Amino acid sequence: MPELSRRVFLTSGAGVAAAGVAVAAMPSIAAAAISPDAKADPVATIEELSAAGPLVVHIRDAKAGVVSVMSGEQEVVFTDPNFISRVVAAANGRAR
Amino acid sequence: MSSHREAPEISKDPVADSTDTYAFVSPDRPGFVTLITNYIPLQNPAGGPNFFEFGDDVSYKINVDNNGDGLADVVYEFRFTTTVANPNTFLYNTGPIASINDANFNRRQRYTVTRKDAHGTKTLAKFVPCPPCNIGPRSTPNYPKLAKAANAQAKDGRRVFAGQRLDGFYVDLGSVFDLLDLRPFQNLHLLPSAAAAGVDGLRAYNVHTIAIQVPISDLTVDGSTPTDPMSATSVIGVWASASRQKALVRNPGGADTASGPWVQVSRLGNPLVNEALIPMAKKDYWNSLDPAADSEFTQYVDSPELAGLIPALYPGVFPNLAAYNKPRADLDAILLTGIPAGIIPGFQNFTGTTKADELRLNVAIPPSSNPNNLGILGGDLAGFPNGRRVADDVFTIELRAIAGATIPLVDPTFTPDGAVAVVTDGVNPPDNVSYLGSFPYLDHPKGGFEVVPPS
Repeated sequence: MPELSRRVFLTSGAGVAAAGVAVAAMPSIAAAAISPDAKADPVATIEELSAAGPLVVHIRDAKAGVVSVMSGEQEVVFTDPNFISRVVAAANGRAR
Repeated sequence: MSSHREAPEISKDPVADSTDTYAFVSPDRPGFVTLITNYIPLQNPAGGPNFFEFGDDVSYKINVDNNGDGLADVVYEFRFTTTVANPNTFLYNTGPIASINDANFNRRQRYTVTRKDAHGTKTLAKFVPCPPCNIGPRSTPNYPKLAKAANAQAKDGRRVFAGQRLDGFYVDLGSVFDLLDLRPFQNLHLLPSAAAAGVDGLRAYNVHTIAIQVPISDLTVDGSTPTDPMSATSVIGVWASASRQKALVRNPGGADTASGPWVQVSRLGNPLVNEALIPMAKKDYWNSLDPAADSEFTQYVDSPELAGLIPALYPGVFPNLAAYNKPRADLDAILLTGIPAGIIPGFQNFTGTTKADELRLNVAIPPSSNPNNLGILGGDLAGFPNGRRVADDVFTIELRAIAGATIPLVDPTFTPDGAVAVVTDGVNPPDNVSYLGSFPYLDHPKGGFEVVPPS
């Protein structure tokens, strides 16, 4: 499965996020979200976007910073505190 | 029950709930082994208008371990697809279903069978039709004809069938779940009443069957057809499993989104293991595992709760069992490792020291010309726990084994209590259940019209 852009999930509306911990309770993640040292995001190609079926994004433990993306019969697990921070903010009504 | 509704979570998901698994050398085709697994327990035949069917979103597998490691070496996977010819009617059938391709058969299922081993995955059969459920004489007027049309040839002489069947398992559910009452012996129960004949709690209930008949060489570790029962290559271990995708998003209108890898939710090797030995809090966890992980459940086999309950519920009837306090090496061998050579003359189904709940079949033991429903306990080496045939009385066999009948196999100092040789729930075929003489061996399902609910 190709590497997936976190921006895709935030803008496509195809993802479903489950997160139960507020950003205020997670200073480490909040700090990571604004870190200037964050690596550049991988970006999906137009072809990948066109071919993408429904995606399910699962954040079981926001504090751990681990994201699970399920697509087709595959599951990709990665760590991305910045992404989680934005998802949790969105879950609390502060989507960009 | 054997494994009907055996765990709290899977009991809420009957489409993926395996009820029984069978593995035996085919009596009418001895070069072939028949593997069967059933789903969707306790089907009331009249249960319409949306009659019972397999899940398009379930991966059904029959797994075979041929090297004793508790992991699948050969996997037969069945995947189903449902189609509706006319979505503008509520009817399952819009008239009599005279043939399996009849236009009146409105909601139908087809399936694809694949075989996977270390060399890859091969499709054995595609778009095989399932027969309809047996509805009644107006809707399914010639059910045997419909079932015959669904009894399909697959590659290399294999046969496949998937569809509704009469449940071949038999047991007095109503009594055994009532504090292990056994009607023929209930005068001896802690809470006694007059002895009575057994009642088959599954009589006239249907299940959904997945069956495949394959050459013995399809299953063995070296691709041979063994003739020496004492050879390690003669033994295979079999279990069924069902899996669902990890994530499900419910969308309005019913077109749900399932995503992610397959997660096992049901498992069944030996009958009654998860049902009667594994404690409630671990049953669904047990369902999610491969047999290779079963060493963590050894304590529940070596010291079964039932072995303590039987003497308590039948006071004074099982004193020798009550006094036996050693680990149950007999049950450990029967259920988790297979029976080693040297215990039963001319027989073994030992797969090694890996403890794994598998239905172990010695394929070099030929079918019996005079089957005994008590299997090896009845002197018939072709029956349970050498695999399992459709008519084997597995409840009585395991009841007697747990009550101490098989302890002398591993501990000659033990003498079984006198009651052990006769204890039973009092339910036996052919009074209560019937079978076919050829593939798929389980009988045609009961029809909704013909079955009268019990009063």
